[in-house]
Amino acid sequence: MKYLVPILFLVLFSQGCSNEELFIEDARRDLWLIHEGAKLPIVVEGNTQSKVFVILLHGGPGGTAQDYNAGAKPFTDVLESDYAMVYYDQRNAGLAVGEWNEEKLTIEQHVEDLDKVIDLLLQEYDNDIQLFLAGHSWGGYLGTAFLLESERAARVQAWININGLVHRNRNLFDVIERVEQIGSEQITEGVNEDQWQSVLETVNLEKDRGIVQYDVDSEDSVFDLIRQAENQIDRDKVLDNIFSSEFSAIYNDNYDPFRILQTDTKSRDRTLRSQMYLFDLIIEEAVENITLPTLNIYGYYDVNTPLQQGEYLFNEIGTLDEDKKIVVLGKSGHSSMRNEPVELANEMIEWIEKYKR
Amino acid sequence: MRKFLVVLFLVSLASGLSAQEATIKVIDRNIGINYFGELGFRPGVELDYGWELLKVQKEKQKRIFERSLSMRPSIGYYHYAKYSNNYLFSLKFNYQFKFINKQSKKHLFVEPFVRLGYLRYFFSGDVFETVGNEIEKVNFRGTNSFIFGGAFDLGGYLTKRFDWLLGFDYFAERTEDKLLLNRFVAKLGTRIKLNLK
Repeated sequence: MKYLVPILFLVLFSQGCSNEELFIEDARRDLWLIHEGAKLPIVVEGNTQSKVFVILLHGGPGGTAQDYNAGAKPFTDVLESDYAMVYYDQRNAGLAVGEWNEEKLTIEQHVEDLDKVIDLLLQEYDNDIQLFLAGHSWGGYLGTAFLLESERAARVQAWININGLVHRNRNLFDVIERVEQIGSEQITEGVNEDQWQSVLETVNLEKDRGIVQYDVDSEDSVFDLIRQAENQIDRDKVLDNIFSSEFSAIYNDNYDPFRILQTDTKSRDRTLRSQMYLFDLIIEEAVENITLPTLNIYGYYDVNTPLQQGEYLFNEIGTLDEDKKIVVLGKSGHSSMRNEPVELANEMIEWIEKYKR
Repeated sequence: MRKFLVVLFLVSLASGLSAQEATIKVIDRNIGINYFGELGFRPGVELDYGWELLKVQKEKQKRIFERSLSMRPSIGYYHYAKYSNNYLFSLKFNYQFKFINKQSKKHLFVEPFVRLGYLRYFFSGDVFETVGNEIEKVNFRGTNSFIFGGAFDLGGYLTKRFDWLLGFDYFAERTEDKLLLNRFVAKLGTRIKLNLK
């Protein structure tokens, strides 16, 4: 009996703590969601006390949210001090596990997965939390696809499209145009003229192919052009690279480069890529249904998903002019979170502060 | 193919224990307890039992050269922070080369081995599963994989009953959806001899 009171006290006290610990300034919670054969790791990290949750969709397909959470801390730490960041690895990507099922490897299934992640967040945290959606690269495509249905869009406060892919076929033409623009500028400024001349020759070769509709076979040459241009931009040394060390990501977090590399290689297959060309038609038809406040952030030197993709989204969505914006980060490529981490985070914070309740 | 390679390995070892040397009665049994660190730093522990199957000795002037084949069932655990708790059930076949100083009775050994086994992950954190439109909290969920690999251990005399052991381990992992070639383990531990004869 003499132990009963302290035990009861401890039990009650620990129960009280666990509820309060959901909403603190520096939370870290690991969750898993098993859905339709996939086992998705979800990390909620940062200031849950704010009750503002920012879901960051990773790139790829086949990337990992740990590239941001563990690999780009100068970017995510800024956001985590103000908000709860939600990182999850998509099915068959990054640290996610589960069966490899081609039938489930669809854009629609990825959209449904995101919906379930939101269900889980609302269930585990209070219903009064505010959700913001952000996506990088392929995450931009996934986020846009998610927001096409107004019921789903109503679940989030605003959309932040970071170097996002919006329209697969159009993007390849945007790449050609953007490489040509950057190449011409560099030549005019006298920067590595010969090398850029060679890049522009590749641009002309690609134009000469006369393709109007790319597919998974014909797109490879454009990706070769992207690599050539990105390598040249690296040699021009116009971009800084500020990121947390991989050593630290492995030791202090759950970053597993071997697993991520294997998953990434396998996920770069044709399944999702070929679907995107068909899904472009749905984007074209329904993109005007998006009326959510939308911030587009693009790197000036991004030749992977150039700022023209942001302009397309900006022009086509149904959002009021005062609720949409394009920001171009002048010293960023495709990975703004590594090139200008603080500037990117501050742009996001400004947008979230404007639209949080 | 994998079975074939294992059989081939065992046959090669058995034939390697040449008739020119003295085949001695199998007596050694031991228990191994090791720190088992995946990538060196993901902490864990391994417990294994050594069961010697064959042994031959060759005496030289100052030392005895001994070769033996052991089977070692093993249970391992390691913790992958912020991700999973992992349990490894495996069987190893170790081929030991042992050098014994005749005078001091001290010894050193090097021991290549192959390992086959089953790895079970239990996810860290709270696990949920969708059931229809509901999301339910579930326990003890994880994933399964089969592993195969091998490497080598180094060891030597510590006391009459204890040997020290330093080991490196590599194994590939066949998961539900992919083949991972990424498991490297560092081991540090001891072997406790159960029979001191």
